[in-house]
Formats: sequence, structure tokens, C-alpha cells
Amino acid sequence: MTNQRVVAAIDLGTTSARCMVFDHGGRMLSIAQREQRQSFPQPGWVEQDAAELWRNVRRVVPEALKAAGLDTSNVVALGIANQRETTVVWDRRTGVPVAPAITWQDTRTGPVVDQIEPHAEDFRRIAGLDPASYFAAPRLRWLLDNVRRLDSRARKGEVLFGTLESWLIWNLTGGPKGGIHVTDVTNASRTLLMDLRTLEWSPKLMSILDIPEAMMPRIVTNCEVYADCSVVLPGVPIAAALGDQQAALFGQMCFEPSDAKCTYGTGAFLLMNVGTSIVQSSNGLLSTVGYAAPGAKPMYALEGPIAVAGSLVQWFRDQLGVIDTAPQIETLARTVDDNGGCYIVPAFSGLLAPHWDSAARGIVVGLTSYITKGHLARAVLEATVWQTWEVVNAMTLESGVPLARLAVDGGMTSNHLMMQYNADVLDVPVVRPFVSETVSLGAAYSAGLAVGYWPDRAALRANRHIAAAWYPNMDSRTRRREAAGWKSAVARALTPADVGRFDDGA
Amino acid sequence: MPGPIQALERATVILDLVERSDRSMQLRDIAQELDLSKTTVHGILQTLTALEYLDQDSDTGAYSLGPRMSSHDVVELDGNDLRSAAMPWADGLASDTGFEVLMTILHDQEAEVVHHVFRPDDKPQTLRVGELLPLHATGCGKLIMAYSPLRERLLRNLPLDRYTRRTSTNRGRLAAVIEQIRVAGVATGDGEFDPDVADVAVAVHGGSRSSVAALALHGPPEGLLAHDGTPRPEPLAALRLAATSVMHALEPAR
Repeated sequence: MTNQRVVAAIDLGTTSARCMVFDHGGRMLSIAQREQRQSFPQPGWVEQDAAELWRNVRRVVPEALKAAGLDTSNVVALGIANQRETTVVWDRRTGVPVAPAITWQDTRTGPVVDQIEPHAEDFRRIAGLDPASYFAAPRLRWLLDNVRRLDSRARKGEVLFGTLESWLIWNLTGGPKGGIHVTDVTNASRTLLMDLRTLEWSPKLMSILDIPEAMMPRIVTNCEVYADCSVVLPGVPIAAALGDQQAALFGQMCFEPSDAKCTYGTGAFLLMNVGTSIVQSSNGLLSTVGYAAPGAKPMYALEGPIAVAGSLVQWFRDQLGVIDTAPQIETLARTVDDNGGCYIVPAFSGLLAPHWDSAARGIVVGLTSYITKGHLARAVLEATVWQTWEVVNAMTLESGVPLARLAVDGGMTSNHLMMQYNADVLDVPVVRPFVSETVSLGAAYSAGLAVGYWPDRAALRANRHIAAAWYPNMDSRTRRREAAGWKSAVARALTPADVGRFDDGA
Repeated sequence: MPGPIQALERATVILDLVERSDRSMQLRDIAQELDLSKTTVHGILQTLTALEYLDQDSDTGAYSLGPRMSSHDVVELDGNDLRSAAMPWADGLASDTGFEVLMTILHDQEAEVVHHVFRPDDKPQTLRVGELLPLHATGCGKLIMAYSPLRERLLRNLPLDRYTRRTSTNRGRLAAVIEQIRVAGVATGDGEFDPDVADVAVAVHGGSRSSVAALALHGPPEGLLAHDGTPRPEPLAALRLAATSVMHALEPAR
């Protein structure tokens, strides 16, 4: 056991910091995790303490090694995956964050986004993204404007900006004593500041937001040794960093164009590999970097984020109290044969892909005295499937390549009824691989490749096996009818064009 | 105001008595305990047995609580809760052993598959969730029968169809096998349903007042069973470990 060689992965998620240890067969040997607190100081504000996050990492890494009966000497490489778009600025001399980290769910930067709206075309052309409060750079601008003296300190090079992988790598490599300041290309592609073609910071976009260059990290690929750890795992090379959804795309081994995966958690994130050419979306998808390794062309991806997936089931359980546990939604749904004509559009805080309507609100349509809670349970599960369908349709339009199959992961894949409905509606096989922790696995795989622990991607494929598969079994007439029902429900949830219509009578 | 109905009163006293007793009771003991004539008690016992509040052993004639009493407080395990709790452990079990993993619960007189993990060899396989398996001809069926509060009734009424030449259709032998399973905590099926498939099953208890699910490995008989038909120790150890983990995972849900 003592000379076993393993790869460690750190996943900085929204609710926890986790460390997992993987062996050569891609099997998870152990896991350790700590809850990560979130604070909500004002409506729309969501913050985390970056120092707490770093403390949690220092705890979970040794815990995971201990649980596997191993120590630092067994670890050949470390890979990192992180929640994307979360923004930290810290003092380069003391290592202390100048303000709480602003997380990806935070919506305070609406005014910043309004200010740069006249330049939307530049952002679209260079970064591949429409300005939105979802991305990191407006948060950085907000900090520069609202933390005292921060702008002038940034111009003197006294403070550093980063997303969470930057913050973690800087600390792991010594912090104020020689820490390296880098960001990986997938995280950089979610700032609004990176040129999607050159994979460098765009001087033009930097100047629109007036971001001082001195505070920016160097952009690196997803698969190279950035430096060795000087603390936590002393001497272990940090060999990979990826945004969590891109890590899952890699962990699901979507290496070829048109390979796609969807991670079903609180929300759902569908990413499709579109190959080495950028696909500029005109159908409400995000263009992003999927994966980049040194000496190879970067692999691009289209992404369709869905805000509400598993959280709709939680709402059904906690807010409505219809079920005791989340899995029992399926038990309830099976008490009926279909949705009884009922559709739920869960636009709890607007709709993301492909509609991007922040003012849309949730809606239940088709209520009659015939409808039971069983029908509603069906409608809850079907809502996530139809949102997946909308994103897949947009992707097919953009890429010109129909989806061959959908790889899935995340907690909701234990819902058999929903996964079968997914295959029925998408009309392609839906497959679940054995390791459901695809985010950490992707980071581990990339790190292992960088140090030669695995020779190539083919070796990784040998590790991948299918744990479950669902095949389409729905006639096209039913599919068309249900699609029409969903579309008409969505139309009613979107912001009406004629809002003023009811003003006269009131 | 009418007085209490005597026969009902006596029936509840008898039920209380049988429930308190740690073993099944003979007519004679019950009559003695309540100081009633055997004829009176016999009539009430017959009625309670017919209504399934009591069970009478066909060999010894002794009475124990029937399905309507014993299943009264039983919390039925929800198959979807089970699948959700079991998924990571069942995945690991299939990865480590190389066999298919099935999870079953009792559904009327059959074993219903609530979770299925493919054999990790990427050969085409079909998801078997929802499939019904015969209780007497599979390890995962025998196991849930052995731990079911309804087992006496099942042993009496279960149709014993023959599927292969190895299927046992002998009711007495089945009863003996069920007793052995309760002692050993493991059940096997050896080509009794599908001639080329064996299975080894252990119990997943969902708590003291809860029904039982079976966690089972399915595969070729030579891989799962030794020459004498007993489970091979290595896959069995992995199976028991996974079952324990699933039980821990189920606990916070209750």
C-alpha cells in the first residue's frame, strides 16, 4: 500500500470544499469534505470567505489521504476544479482578501453590466459572451469601485485578482512567499475579459472595464505543471485546473466534437464539445473553452446552463411538503401514467439558456379538477427534461451535428423515471458512467495526463464503463404533442411583450 | 348503554397474549392462561387466523401473529429512496467485483428490481429496473421472503413454477432453505430461473420497524459460487460491506 501512486483532486464547490483520491483505474479511493458557508448580506448578494475556503482545503486534503491510508509521498499530481465566476481580490504582501469573495450566484453587478451594454458587440465578438452579471469581470469592477483605495492599489500592483483556482494555486505555492499567480483558460473564459481566439486577456475589453493589468493572473492551459505545492502537499506538482463544468466534460470523456454531457444537480449544466473552431451562438448558448493542453489546439464548447433542476424537487419537498424525501418524487409520479396535461415552468429567478429572460416567473399550466399531486410530480420531473431538450435543440442548430447520445451525471441520475423520459424526449440514448463524481475525476485525469501517470486519453477511455443506459421508447406523435404543451407553457412564463395591457382597467 | 362485546374483548386479550409471547403458542396454553374453555378459545383463534390476525403453523398447530398484525407498524422501504441511497455503493460493488448488481424489494408475491448496475464490461445490457423475479427461484427473491413478515403466508400460497431443471418446487424444502437463510444472512440462486445465471443476496435493513431489501450480485455460477454451491468468499465480503454502507446511507433519511 505504501508505495501506491495516486492522483488527488480538489473540488471547490458552492457548498463544500472536497478532496478525492483516485487510483490508476480511475477508482475513487477516498473522499473528505467540509461545508463552505455562504452569506447573503443583501438581496441578490451571495458572498463567501476566501480565507475559510483555504482553511477548509488545508483540512480536507490530509483527511482524504489518511482515509485512503496514504500520505503526500503517494501523490503524483494534484488537479483542481472550482465553481466558476466567483471573484476574489487579495493583498499580495499579506495574502489577506480585501473583501468577501463575490460568488457566481450574486446579482449585484446589474448597474456595471448596464454601463458596458453599449460595448456588447465587442464582448460578443472577442469573448464570445454577452455582458451579464453571471460573469467575473463586472464583479471585479464593482470591487474596484466600492472597496476604498482598491483601484489605486490595483494600479500600483499591490493587490491581485483571481477566480477560486487562482486563489488556491497562489496559496498552495507559498502565498506571499513566492506564490504563483495564474488562472486556467476555462475559468478565464468566464470573466468576459479573455479573447476566445488568442486565449489571452483582451486589451480592448480590459480597457472598456478599465481593469488594471497589474492585478491580472497569467492564463495557463488545463494540463501542465504550474508549480509544485510548497504547503499542504509539499513537493507535489499542481498539474491541472479547470472550471467545474469543464472538468465534468473531461471526466465524462467528451473528447470528440458533438460529445455532450449534462450534470444534474441544483441546476443543470449541459456542455457540448464543438471541436477546435469557435461556434458563436445566436440561439442563447454560451461559447466557452472546453479544454486546452500545451501544444494542441484548444477544444471549444457550447454551454447551456439551466438554473432550476434538482432545486425544483427540493421546492416540492420543502416548500409544498408534498413528499418526504427527494427520491419519493418518483414514487409519487408513478401513481399516474402521464402529466394529465399539466406543465410546470420553474422560472424562479428568470430563465437562463436558451431564453435568458431574467424577468420570467414560474408558472403551472393545465390545472383542472382532474390533476392530482401525482400529475404535478410528473410535471416537476418533466420540466428538467424539457429544459434539457431546449438546450439540446439550440446546440443542434448551432453545431449542425445532431446529438448521438447524452452522458449524464449528478444526483438526479438516480431518478429512473426522469432519465427514461430524458431518453424518450431527446430521442437518443442517455448513459450514466460508473464514477458519478465526474468533476473531481476530470481534474484528476487532466493532472495525471500532465505528469504522465496516464499515457494518453485512450488509457482513460479504458477506465470508463457504463453503469446504466436508457433508450428512447416514445412515439413521435406523443413527443410532438408534449413538446407543444411545454412550448406554450414557456411562452406564458416569459416576460409579456404587452406588459401595459392590464393597466387600463386597474 | 350496551356493554362491551365479549367475543371482541376476548379476541384482543388473545392477540395481546400472543404478541407478548416470545414464541408461538398452543391452544392449550392460551386457554389455560385466560382461564377459558378450549372450545371457546378455539373458535376465536379460528376466526383470527382466517382474518390473518394470527398465523397457525401447519405442522405444530401453534399460533403466532399473522401478517395483519406483524406488518401493522412496518414502514415499507421506498424503492426510489433505496436506489438513491444505494447508487454510489452499488456502483463501487459492480466496479470492484465485475458482476451485475441488483437491488430488489417484495412486491406482492414477487421480487421487484428497484436498482440495477451494469456489469462493467461495456457489453450491451438492458436496464432491469421494474422487472419482477420469482421469489423461490432467485437468491434475491428467497432473501426478501426470508426476512418478510409475510413469509409464512408466502410459503403457504406462493405458486412454485418450474423455470429450469434446477428450480426446486418442493414447498417443504423451500421452508427449510428460508430458515437457513435467516440463520446465515445470505441467500443464493443457482441457475434456478435462468440456467446460466447465479445470484448471491444479502439483506439491507431499513431500520427496526422496516421491511427488508435484497442487495445481490448476478453473474455466471462459476464466478459467484464454489463447487458445493456456497457463495465464494471474496464477492460475498464485498457484498456485505456494500450492504452495510447502504444501511448507513439510509439512516439519516428516517
